[in-house]
Amino acid sequence: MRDSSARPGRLSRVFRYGGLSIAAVTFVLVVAHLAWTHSGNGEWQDVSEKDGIRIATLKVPGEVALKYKVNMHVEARLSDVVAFLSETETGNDLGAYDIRRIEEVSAPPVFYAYDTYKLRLPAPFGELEVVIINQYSQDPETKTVRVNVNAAPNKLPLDESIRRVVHLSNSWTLTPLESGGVNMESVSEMDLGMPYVLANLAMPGVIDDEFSKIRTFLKQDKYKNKQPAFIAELHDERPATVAVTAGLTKPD
Amino acid sequence: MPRTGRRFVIPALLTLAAAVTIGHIAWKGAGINDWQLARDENGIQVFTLKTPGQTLLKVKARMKLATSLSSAVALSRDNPFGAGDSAAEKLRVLERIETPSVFLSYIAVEHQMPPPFHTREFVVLMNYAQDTASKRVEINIQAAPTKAPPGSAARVVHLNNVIRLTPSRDGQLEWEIAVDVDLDVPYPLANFALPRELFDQLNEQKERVLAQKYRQAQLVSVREL
Repeated sequence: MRDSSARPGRLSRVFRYGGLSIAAVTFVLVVAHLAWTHSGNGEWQDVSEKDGIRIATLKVPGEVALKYKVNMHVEARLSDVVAFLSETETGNDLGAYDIRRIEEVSAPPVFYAYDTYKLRLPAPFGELEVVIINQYSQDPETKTVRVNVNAAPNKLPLDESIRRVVHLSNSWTLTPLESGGVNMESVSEMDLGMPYVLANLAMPGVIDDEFSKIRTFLKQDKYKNKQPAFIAELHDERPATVAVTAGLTKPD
Repeated sequence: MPRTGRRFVIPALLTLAAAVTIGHIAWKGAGINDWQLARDENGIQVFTLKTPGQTLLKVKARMKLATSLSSAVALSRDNPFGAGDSAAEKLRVLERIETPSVFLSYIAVEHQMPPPFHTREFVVLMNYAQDTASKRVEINIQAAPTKAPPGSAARVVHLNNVIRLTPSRDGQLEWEIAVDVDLDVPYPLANFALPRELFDQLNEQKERVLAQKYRQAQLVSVREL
């Protein structure tokens, strides 16, 4: 006969306390996730300023990933900076590989291109495939250039052997100065498939490294004296692209 | 809680959590990465695509219609998400360039969601360059969330839709919309609703394109076959 007053067996205790522990950890994680998701004031907060590279983050209530804004001055020609950001060859120096231009539309005043490349993230996150559209325009008065980079994951058939980025957006503003050089501002957000806690902690450092590299590369001869289509220097007489135009739709 | 109740509640919760986890893993790994016909009604075919490793379905819908290419492009530009006319009227053009060979526009529009979900905001880049030989127009729509400062509505960050408009000599236009979007709702719900939503959208576009302003539309960037 079974003795109902006997103490629970060892396995039973393991299940009971194990279950309670899992439930408690899950509860804490869910509460922390909800608290983080709803936090934020929608304002840019400076997080670092080192060697002239200023990084700010923005936490939007309802979103888990941070957005990043970077400001930096480079002593370089505007055309060289645009070429650095828009030519596919640059990616090799920044750690990308299998870089390829899929499609390019160059019809003044419009320039845009679809590019693809791969990135290798630190273990255990593996490889990533990126398919983007990058588009640039220049204000004819101030010569300020805007480069918009956005994920376009469906521009290529999916390769099941590698993860493809579906959330990536980066808006660059490149302002040439009378005193020389270019002020660069980048506003970016992305999801590289890493846990957001890790990404939010790591990205400011990664961004700082990348911008330091950009400044170093722009001093090298191979990135100098470039002439991308439609880009005029501050006192160049060449016509610049028009960032915003009135509609050219034919009247009814 | 009585001892007997505790004895059953915790195992029940753990079992439920295990079942949900197994169901999620099974669904995530499922799929053949090929388009499957999900609905064929009223001249509209709806297809879904499940890619292994992803939880959200991609959906596309296709129909043939006796309308001009310019009419369909004009409507798609005004109403790229097939929302009601009142939503389309609230569409904000942030930047726009149109020439005989290319069209490019950044737009922002809010999308009302059914309760309990809050309004979503689309900030997207819409672009096309018509194929000069076939006269086919492929309108690419990409989320461009950094193009405008954050607003009060949650912004959609994963969106890459394609509208393909292919004219033929018999006056028929093949109209296809492929949708790849994450509206930040639970994926079982999104996967259930999106094919139905897309069917309704395309069905409504049939009527909207008959409006006089679209029937008479002529666009700098579009030439008829």
